[in-house]
Amino acid sequence: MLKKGLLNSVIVKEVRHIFRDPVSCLLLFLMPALILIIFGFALSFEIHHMNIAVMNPSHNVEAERMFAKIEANPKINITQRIDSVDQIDAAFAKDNTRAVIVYDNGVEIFIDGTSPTLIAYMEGMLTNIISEFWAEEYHAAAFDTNANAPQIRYIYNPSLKKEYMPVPGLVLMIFILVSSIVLGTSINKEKDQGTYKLMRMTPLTNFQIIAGKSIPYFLISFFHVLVVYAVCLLFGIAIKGSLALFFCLCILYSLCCMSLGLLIASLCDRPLEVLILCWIVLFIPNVFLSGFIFSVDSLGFPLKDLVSALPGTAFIDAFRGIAYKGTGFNENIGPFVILITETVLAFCISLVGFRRKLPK
Amino acid sequence: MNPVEIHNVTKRFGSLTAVDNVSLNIGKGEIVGLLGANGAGKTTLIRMLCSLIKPDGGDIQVEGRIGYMCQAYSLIPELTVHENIVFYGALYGLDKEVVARREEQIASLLQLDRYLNRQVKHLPSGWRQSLSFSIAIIHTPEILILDEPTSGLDSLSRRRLWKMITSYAESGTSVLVSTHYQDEAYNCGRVAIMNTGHIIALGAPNDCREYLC
Repeated sequence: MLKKGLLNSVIVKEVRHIFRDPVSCLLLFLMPALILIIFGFALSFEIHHMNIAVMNPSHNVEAERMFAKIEANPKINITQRIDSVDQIDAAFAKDNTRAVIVYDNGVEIFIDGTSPTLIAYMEGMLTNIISEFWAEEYHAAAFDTNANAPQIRYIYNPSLKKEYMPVPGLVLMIFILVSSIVLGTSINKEKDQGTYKLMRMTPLTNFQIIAGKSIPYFLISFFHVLVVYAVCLLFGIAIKGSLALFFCLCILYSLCCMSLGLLIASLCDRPLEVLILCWIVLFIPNVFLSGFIFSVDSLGFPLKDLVSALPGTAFIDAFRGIAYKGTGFNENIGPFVILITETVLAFCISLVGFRRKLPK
Repeated sequence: MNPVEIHNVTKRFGSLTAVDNVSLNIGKGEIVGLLGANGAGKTTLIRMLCSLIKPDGGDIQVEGRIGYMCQAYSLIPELTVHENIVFYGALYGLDKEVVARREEQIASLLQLDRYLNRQVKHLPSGWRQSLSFSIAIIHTPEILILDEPTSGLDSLSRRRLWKMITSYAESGTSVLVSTHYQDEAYNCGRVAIMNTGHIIALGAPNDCREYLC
């Protein structure tokens, strides 16, 4: 017969083990809390805030009333007014514009087709408001709202190819995996084996050790970018903007992921801790909150402002801008500044961390 | 001046004083054994000597290049024996020809010839220790610091490693070797016995016999 005391001993040991082991605590408490917050509160297919541009070249009074009705919706903000259809591209390049409404012999709605998860919601919301407007203007029965329904045009992805959506997210995940997680765990494996300590005994500087370890991972992740680029071409998704700027963005994001991986490695002792922390701090937030799957516009305050500082959000924004919309450096200066700042900061802090915290 | 001079060195970790006001000199070609139980402060003293951590007080003077062999093997398991030697030789700034010559000398001295193309992860622990030792001496250091090199080895491997250490010291290299095997003290010219961060005895092994079991 099982003695009660024996079972209790194992239970007590396990409870102590859980609370004294940082890895177990991260997995058992931080990970579920993060998942609960992300999926329970943060993410939805609803849009909380959407910037649009409008065009009313004939200065029609009815159009202005329609725009006022649209802007009365708390979820919509008219941030730009344009005068000609030639300015539509420029309008989409600024202020994270999701749609452009043109009132000129009927109503046309241009919707950014590169974010398929948003399209149905945006289309539904805008057409409903416009239908309501017509109904109010012409007192319902006298006006055929169906015949006057706005024309919808999907810009940048007119045929709504599904391949547009996963590409930036794939690159984002590859970089986090190769540049952050594998590099970070590899550095801590080096600490574990004692080779890091021995390398510190040679004339090598800390910077040289880290750079020497990072360059192969950088090349591997860049190889994956080339593969993704080749796959894009295969599916007929051409890079609309500057190819050089596109690769600059990929290199910068790769460096940013490396710096963040190094920062985490400098704070941890064991490779497993790096792996789990990278997963919790980098992978989950960047994949789920960066706008790759769920739109950033679906997040409420203050999460929306916080996630805009994520490297993944900056990367996805700039990727869609350069690759799909053909925007240049000036339009993407914000994401570039975020990535450069985070790269430099994380790298400098990690250097200090590696210098201060030598393996035991 | 001795190749290694340690004057009144202290190191604290929070409220714990790991090394407390320790002084020790090592002469040319001398083997000094650092003995003590686990936690006595041997590894901390060695890490300060290797400049891996800074002392909180006191002064350490080292004249010459240091070869270091730490408790962990510090080898790259995925690389072969030859690749490990070449890698560390390059890190010490040695030319390819010099590394090749040193590898040949060391391999024949330590009988590593037949394992040169074997991955380190497939090497028996005694040979890993020999390789670790060969990496510590690849750049012909004037000072050799060995942190518990015989830990976990069988008696045959321990004897072989001590033979290597003794023959290397005979060429004029100063050696500081830490161990918790008290019988190994008799392989050293002098021993320093550490307890709770202090050197409680320093001298020839026979003079410190009362501290050795």
